[in-house]
Amino acid sequence: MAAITFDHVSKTYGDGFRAVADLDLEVHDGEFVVFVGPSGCGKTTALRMIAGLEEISEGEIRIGERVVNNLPPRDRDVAMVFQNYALYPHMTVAENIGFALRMRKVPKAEARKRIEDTARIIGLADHLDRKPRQLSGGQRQRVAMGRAIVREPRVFLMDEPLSNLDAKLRVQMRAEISRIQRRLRVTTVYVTHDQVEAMTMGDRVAVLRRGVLQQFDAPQRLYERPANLFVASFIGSPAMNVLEATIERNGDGLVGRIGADTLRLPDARPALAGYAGRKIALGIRPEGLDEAAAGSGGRLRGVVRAVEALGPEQLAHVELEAAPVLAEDVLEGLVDLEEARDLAELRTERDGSPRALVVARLDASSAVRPEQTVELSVDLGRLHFFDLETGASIGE
Amino acid sequence: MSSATAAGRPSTALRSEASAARRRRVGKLVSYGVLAAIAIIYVFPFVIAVVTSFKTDPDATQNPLSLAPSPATTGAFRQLYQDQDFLLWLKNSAIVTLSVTFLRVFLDSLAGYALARLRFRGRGAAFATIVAVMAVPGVVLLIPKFLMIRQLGMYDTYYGMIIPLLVDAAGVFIMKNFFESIPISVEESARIDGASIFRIYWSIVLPMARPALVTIFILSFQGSWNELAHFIISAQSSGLNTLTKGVAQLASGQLGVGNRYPLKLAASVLMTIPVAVLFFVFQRRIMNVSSGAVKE
Amino acid sequence: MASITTRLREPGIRGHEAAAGWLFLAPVIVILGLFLVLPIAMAVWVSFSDWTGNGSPLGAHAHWVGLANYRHLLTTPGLDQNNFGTSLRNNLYYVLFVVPVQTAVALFLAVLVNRRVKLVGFFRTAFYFPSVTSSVAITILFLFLFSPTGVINKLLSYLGATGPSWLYDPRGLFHVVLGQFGVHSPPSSLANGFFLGVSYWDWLSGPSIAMCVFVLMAVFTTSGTFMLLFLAALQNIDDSINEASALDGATEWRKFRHITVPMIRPTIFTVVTLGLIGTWQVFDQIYVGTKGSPLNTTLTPAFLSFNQSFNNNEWGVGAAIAFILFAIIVFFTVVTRLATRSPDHVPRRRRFLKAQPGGSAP
Repeated sequence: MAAITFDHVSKTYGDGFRAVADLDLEVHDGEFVVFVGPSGCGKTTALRMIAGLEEISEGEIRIGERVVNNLPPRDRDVAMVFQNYALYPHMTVAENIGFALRMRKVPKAEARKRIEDTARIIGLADHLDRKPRQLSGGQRQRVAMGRAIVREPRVFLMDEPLSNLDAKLRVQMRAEISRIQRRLRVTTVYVTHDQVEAMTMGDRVAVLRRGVLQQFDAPQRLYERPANLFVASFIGSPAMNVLEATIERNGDGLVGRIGADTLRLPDARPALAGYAGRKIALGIRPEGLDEAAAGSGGRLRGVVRAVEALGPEQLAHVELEAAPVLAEDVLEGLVDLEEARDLAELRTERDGSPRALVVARLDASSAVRPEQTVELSVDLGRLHFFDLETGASIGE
Repeated sequence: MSSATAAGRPSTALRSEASAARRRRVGKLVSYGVLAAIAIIYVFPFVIAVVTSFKTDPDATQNPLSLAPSPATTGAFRQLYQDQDFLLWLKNSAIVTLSVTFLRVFLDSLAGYALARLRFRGRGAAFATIVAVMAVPGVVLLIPKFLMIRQLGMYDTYYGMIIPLLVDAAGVFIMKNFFESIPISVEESARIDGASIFRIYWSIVLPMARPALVTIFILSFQGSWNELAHFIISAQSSGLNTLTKGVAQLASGQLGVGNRYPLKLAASVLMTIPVAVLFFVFQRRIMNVSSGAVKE
Repeated sequence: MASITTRLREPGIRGHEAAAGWLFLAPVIVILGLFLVLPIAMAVWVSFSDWTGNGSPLGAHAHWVGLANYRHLLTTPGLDQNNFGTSLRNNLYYVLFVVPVQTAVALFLAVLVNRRVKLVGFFRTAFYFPSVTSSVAITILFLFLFSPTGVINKLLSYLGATGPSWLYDPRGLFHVVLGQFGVHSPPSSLANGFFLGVSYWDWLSGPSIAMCVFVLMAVFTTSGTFMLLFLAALQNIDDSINEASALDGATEWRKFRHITVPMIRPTIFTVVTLGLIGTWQVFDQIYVGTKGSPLNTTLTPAFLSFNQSFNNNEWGVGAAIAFILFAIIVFFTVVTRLATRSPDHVPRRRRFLKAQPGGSAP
């Protein structure tokens, strides 16, 4: 077992493309860390550098105390699960699992025992003599896991191991992998583009964008305290609503003007004072919006355009007379198809004034209907503020 | 496909549909007829060859078309065995063909793997050379190869007959393309598992490349079994005659009177059997042109 | 590139991959060098020398004679020039007859067996089988089929015709046809002009009757191979394209002419090129069948080159013929390339730029 340290690591390809830029982080011994980000963000490259499949252009990677920059993969004592499983098609399940042991000249009897133990852990004890093509997708995935487990390595590396499974199986395997990792306590780096996987599985999550680390934190912290607009829009589903707001002084406090509406801002944000008279990006999570009851704090007025009933709750898509923030980092963070569709509507303007579509998470009992005008209450304690130019969160 | 069926006039539509069906049936019959006729042209000569090899010389000359030898005799085959060095030729052909085939499969796959997957300086140049070599027509090489074989003291030896035939740029090319089609993660997985480069080649990649290896095997076997020109220029002693060379000499008529077609055709038939067997064994692989590539 | 310098100093993450790479390639490179590159260099030298086969061509028995061997063939009247010219004529007619016919037959067969009909496997097998048999066996078979008392003439006699003596008949096909119209001797303008030692009249002879047998044999043995190439191309055509054109009301022939043929143009180029390369190298059949007879009308440059060297010990001349033949093959390949280039062809260099990836993101 060992910690993994990225010490100002960069990866530049021959054509000048910089896949990873100055990555600096430490994965603790026994920790489950998820690298997440949209495709092309450098997460897989970072993982492959730990494995020894990519050369490191600058900086150092250490596993335990040892610098591994020039160590071939087989001397790093890591095991990797590939997206396409990379099973050896001509070998049986037992041979697949046992291949690494054979390479390490583990005595036959011991190898046999370890293979059988592993097969029990992954639930394939009855399938040891099958070839990969005789297995289902989920079973193949488990063989790939078994191949990693049997090694008893210091580090597990997983490259989108669940992306080839269907949705139901994915949820099940998510729990399964977490369970196995907790039981074996092996340092694990897990790569995915799926923020739900990242949030549910990782002890800590590293969010990457265009090769640059955006934030490295526990999942809840990422959700509650996103460091910038990109992380804010990438983490959470439905995504955070981001609107343009103008900060103004109002007596001894600050207000944010959003279109025709005005929100009184909490006093606990002294840094905001510096933005008085300027525009910022204001983020509201869908659960920060609710149907207005009498007398509560801030309100936003709009027209309901669509309602999605999800059983325990409803998602109301409400059109506000406000300007949406469509900066690149926001768009890149919005990954769901559904949200991409909304984006098209976000761009629309009516009567020359901009409109923004926001999503509110409402109670199942809510009676809102499309085309109805509503007032939404805003939970002022859960607002997020970002600098429009840098995208960085405006501190407390 | 009755897209033309007009709603208001079902009867005409039905009638035209029926006539279309009849036309299709007639078309089908015609194409079967054409196919059968051509097939006869392609197959008949081989039937004639087999039948004639059981005839006597006068019978073959007088009734070349007859499919019933009268009298039927295995005389031609016995003569091949007794008067000619047929078994010697067979032995030489077998030695050369098997050596060439197995060595080619091995060397082509080694080189193909290096060119497809191993990173080293000069790889591009090496590949370009091999491709360029592929373009040199074989007949141009007869004299050059003879000169080199003699220069190296390999003339009139098995070495001279076998080693130059190991040049197989096309085979290297096929293997390289195949290896490139294997998902690289399988090899990366093996690297992480602790396998050396040769081990990855031998235990992982080679077993996965069976379709391509079979292709090389077929091409090499057929090519070297049927090779004639190279054996003419690489050896002269009759002890090193292969089937092609021996039978070719038989055909050019150094054996006295008559044209002795039954004897020559018997030899032809016998020498065709191994490639024919190979062909029928791997027929599906050879013929199934669309799925010849990888499928995992 | 920092990574390369580190790799030179120590093995790095890819271990000793460079060493392994060269080791894996070594046997192929060595054999290629020893039996291809070096020999060609040696033969180039021989084609510029007067070596007669004694001792080593690199020793004292060979002397530099410059272009003498090439001049001997191309500009010096004599038996050798006449033979060379004749062989070129023979092979040219062989190429002109075989390549179009085998391409058309192969395409026709491919279209026939590309349907979902019963027994299609049998038909494909039947058409391909001649391709796997050895040239020696096929030649012997054709010697028998076309012998004066053989199968073909027997068949012709049933039809009331008298066949020619085939492989013993040196008459040129065009001459025979002209003979039917009463033209038996050339006008003096054709009889007295010579190119490469062969009179214009003889250049216009067409393939000899004997050569026609080899033409038929070539079509018989190669159409199956090329059929497979065409078949692969046909099966790559998307079904929806055929269906779309069927809905458009295209007839079979129009569909074939305007949809199928343009789509398999690259394969047609491949087949024609392979055909050209193959047909300019006829050797085995001539060696086994006729050795150039009758009256040299089946002599080919490949066989002549062999004969001059190995039997007449004129190694310089033999090697020179081989290289001229090489040049001819290269010339024909390039011409085909230019002729069949499709209108939307992208020049090589631009194509390379086009293929450059924008970035190699994982």
